[in-house]
Amino acid sequence: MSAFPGAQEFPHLAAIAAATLQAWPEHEKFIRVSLGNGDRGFLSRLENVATDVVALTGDELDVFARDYRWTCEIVREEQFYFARHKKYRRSTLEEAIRDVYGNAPYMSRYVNGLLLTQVLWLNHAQAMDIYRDKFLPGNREGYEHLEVGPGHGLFLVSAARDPRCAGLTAWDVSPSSLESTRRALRKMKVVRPVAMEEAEICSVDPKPDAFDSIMCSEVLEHTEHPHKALDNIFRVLRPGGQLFLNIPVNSPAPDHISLWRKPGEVQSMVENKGFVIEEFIALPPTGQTLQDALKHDFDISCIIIASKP
Amino acid sequence: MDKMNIQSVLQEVFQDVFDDPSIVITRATTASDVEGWDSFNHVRLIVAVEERFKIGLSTAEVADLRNVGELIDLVGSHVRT
Repeated sequence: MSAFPGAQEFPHLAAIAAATLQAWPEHEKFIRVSLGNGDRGFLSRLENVATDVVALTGDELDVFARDYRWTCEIVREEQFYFARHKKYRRSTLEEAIRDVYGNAPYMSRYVNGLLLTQVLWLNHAQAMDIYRDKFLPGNREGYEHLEVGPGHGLFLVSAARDPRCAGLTAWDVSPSSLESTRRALRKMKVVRPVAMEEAEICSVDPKPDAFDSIMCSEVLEHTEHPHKALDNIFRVLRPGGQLFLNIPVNSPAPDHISLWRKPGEVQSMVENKGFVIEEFIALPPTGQTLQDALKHDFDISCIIIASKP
Repeated sequence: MDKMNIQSVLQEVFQDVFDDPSIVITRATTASDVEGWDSFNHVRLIVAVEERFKIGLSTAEVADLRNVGELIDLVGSHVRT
């Protein structure tokens, strides 16, 4: 039996699902819900993402699948903590560095696991879909693009392949993370230049109005000062340019330190910085309705496409 | 508290967590038998059980529960001590 309906038409999705089930047979129901939603157009586009993911995993998909299970288990620990204490376990960057970022073997497994969530967690897959299918095509011809916190490179590669994109820059606080993104881009056959710059989004003193398009996905919850980060993003975005934000609310993870409890809090924060919100899409986690996610304080990905007047 | 009493109280917890007063649990009940019993609601269920019985359960203890019977036994082992 295939891992999800129609799996034979999507070989890379099927390979990721099969490797995951090999590592974690009990995850079958989750995968059937996540990939079995029956929307063939969505699955076709997700197959393109899965193709990139398989390029990144190379011949170690089984290792990534085991790391995905491990990542889900450590996130589950944080979900229990959040349900019991109504707050994230860590609230400072120092704690996150001590327990997560400073632990290289831990980080390696965590980053591997997060890569597969891009395909296997429905809210992550939908966020990618909105970015590739809606946000990037909405950019002006010849746009200058910045990604803050490019991580696995799956978002950055989409802009790199867009012939309408004139220039690419990526900022990250960590040189090793930038190097990891560089390697990822090479694996995904990106040959055009990408300016990789070491920059801390909360404290950077950027040149104003430098970019037409800014992507910042699942970054602000890792910062102690998300308001400063948004101020800087506003500053570097050109008037008329557009911003893609993904900010999760009630999303316990070992390195999440800034907590928003309702999508409305995220919306107000972004509007108060001067952005005009063009699209606000709240994505519940796999298998949940938005109504239930709101009722029970489950993880909701707030996807925002905003412009600078 | 004996196991029949634990099962009776647990049934109320299940009805509350899954918002379904018609839920009837047995020792053989599994996640597949209860609509909505997924990984997210499992966290809610366990925390509700902890609060109701005033016990603390570790993630390792609740990760491998295969059915309600094992949950009853686990709660029983904590309530007695």
